[in-house]
Amino acid sequence: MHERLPDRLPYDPAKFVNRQAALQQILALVRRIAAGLPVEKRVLFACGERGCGKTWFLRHLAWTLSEQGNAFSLYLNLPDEWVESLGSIPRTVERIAAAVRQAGSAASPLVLLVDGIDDLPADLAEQFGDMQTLSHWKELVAQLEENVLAPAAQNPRLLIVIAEQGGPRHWSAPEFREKSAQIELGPFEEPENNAAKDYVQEQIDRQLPHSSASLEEIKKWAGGYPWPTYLLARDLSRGGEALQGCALLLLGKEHEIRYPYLEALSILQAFDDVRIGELLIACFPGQTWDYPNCLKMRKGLLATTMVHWVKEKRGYVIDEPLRRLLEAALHLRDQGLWRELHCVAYRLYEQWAADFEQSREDWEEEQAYHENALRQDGHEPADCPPAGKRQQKEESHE
Amino acid sequence: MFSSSASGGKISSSSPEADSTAKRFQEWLSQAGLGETNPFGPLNAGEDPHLSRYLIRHDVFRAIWQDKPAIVFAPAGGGKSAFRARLAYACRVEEDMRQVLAIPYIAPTPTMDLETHLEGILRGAAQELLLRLTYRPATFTSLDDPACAAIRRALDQNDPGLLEQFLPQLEREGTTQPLVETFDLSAAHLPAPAEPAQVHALCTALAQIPPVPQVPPVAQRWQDFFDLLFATLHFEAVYILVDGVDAFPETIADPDAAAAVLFPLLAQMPHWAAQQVFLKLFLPLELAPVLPEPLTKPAKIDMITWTPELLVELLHARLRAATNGEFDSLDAISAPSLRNAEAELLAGLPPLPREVLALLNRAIVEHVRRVGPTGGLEPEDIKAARRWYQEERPFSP
Repeated sequence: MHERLPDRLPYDPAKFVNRQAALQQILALVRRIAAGLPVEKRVLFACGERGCGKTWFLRHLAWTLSEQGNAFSLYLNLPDEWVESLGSIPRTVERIAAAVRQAGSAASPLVLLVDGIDDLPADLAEQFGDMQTLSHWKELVAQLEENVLAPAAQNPRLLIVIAEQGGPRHWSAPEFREKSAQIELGPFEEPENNAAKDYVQEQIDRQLPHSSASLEEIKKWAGGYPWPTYLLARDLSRGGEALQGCALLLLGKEHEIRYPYLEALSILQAFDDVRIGELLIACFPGQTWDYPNCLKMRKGLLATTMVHWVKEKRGYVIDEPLRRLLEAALHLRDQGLWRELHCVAYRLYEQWAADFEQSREDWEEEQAYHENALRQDGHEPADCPPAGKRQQKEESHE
Repeated sequence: MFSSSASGGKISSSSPEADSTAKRFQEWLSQAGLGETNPFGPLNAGEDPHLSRYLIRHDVFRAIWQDKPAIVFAPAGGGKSAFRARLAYACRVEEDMRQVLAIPYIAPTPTMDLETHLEGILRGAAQELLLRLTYRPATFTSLDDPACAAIRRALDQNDPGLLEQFLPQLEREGTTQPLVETFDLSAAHLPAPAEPAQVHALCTALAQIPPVPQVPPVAQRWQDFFDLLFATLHFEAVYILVDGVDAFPETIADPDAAAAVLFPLLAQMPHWAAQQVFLKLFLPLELAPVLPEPLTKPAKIDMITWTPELLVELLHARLRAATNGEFDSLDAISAPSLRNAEAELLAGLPPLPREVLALLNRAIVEHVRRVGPTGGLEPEDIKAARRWYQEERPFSP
């Protein structure tokens, strides 16, 4: 039965769970607009990592609006529009503009739902490489903003909801930026008490009622993110390789080549060009990890759209649903390498904390994170080889 | 464009050493992923063609984007010109679907004569109207012949030679660029510009209307121009954006002299407001105590102040724009030895955008001089920049 199930479950309102607070927030704005009341923030970014259920959220919003009947909704999936327009940026923009014009002419308010702005079409990435595709895609989104979204945002009868992976991207037009607000779609949280709903359990009950996978393991590795929850509930009973399979699905086949690098970096809380070199040399000693190559690697990782700069973490991070799966898969596949990488990070931060007075506190916190990870797995951080010895080992590899 | 050091921050390109530093500065920006244009310059907002991409302080903008006279007071380097540019941008792109003509007005001389002000405002109005028509040619090409002739007359009478000078350039370029470069760099990069063919059609249509050499008295032209704007072009309001009154040698250190320049305009404020013409004044803080209260009473008054948090937001907005959202923190361009460079920069600095941008530019200069166009910023770069700041900008506010 499992073989027949799709990797992405098609939207079904009966299988949708949670997100009531976010839905009600938007529906309240729609009601205000329908009543002719002013709404200043008419652009909403529904933000969350890949796998947090943004598409289902937009679909469910469209379904709810059609049920309520006080507003018209238009759902647009950018990759689909792009394919329909034969891969032409001007045609895609014109096609969407025409759809918005037509939908906006109705008497009731319009809710424009824009999905997939971070989903680079797989065939395009395979044809041109992900870096070139990313730049092409950014141009499409910029044109869409300039010609459709920013002008539409000036219409007081129109609400725009855009699904955004990670945080909102940089939107150029101030008249668009300033009318925007953010709605976070995080993972389903663990119930705080017995009376609270367990949304992960509810999701599995509705979507895969016959799953035999352990709820505890699903929660541990999927972290409450709906798509990994679905995939693990579907596949976990078949063994630990399900973790890697699930991670590959999240990453996308077209980015498979980056998998080993992302896996190595998944043990870090955050990274930058310097840390990319320090970690990857431990995993791939035969390759050159000088500054230009680390920079190139970082650009490549960003092109997967699964890596983002996170200000609070002061570095680039892998989308959390993917990072959790990558690290779990690595731990399961090669515990020795997992330990070695944590040791590399532990010693690196130890060195930085000793060398850099101004940034000492930050590096001590990072060191403590790896110390804790090693201890929880039954290792003594003090047993990690010193940085110098590791370097000798790497040289002998070469 | 390349800004960074003393008193507003230009690295003089008069010596080979300066040339080399400027080149390495540019290379460093590029390798750091910040693109070809320095996101931390120019220090004068009026010269920044990318300003709209990273403007912040939505609160101030909302306060002045209303049909009311307004006075914005800010210290030097505190963002007056940036808010003026933001308001002009909102008018040009018809934000909130509002039809407002912004007339940027920087008094050509420190005059106290109303007629001279009116002449200057009308000249600015003619230039702005031509910019608007070039940005949205359909506004003109959809009008009937008498209305088109009235526009030609208004342009000819209030800025004689404007069309003669710019029509050939606009025809050649097919964009607003010649007007932007001459009158207002902040109008560069307006969204969804017209097709060149539409600009050509506008130029052809304007050129076919016979020029109007006669120039009636200024009061008559004022009346005619505003009739044209409201009755023919259906603008709902006109905002006169007054900036730069403290820029003349006579007024730069003399708030009383600068205030005197404004008196004739302030006296007109209530009368104009009744006709949907609103003064928006962007003034140095020093003028606040010397402007008589009865004259400023009809205006909504805002005092711009900056906090360290807002300045961090300003830096982050610039980084986000320069990298197309790839990152928005100085941590991304710092070495492991430096974390939270924003706090290091702001410590002990006057909380003003121009000052923090000047210091950051200098830190980059110090870095490229010390290690070349590679690697991230380090604490010693900021320390060196701070030493430079204390020597070169001791009188900064």
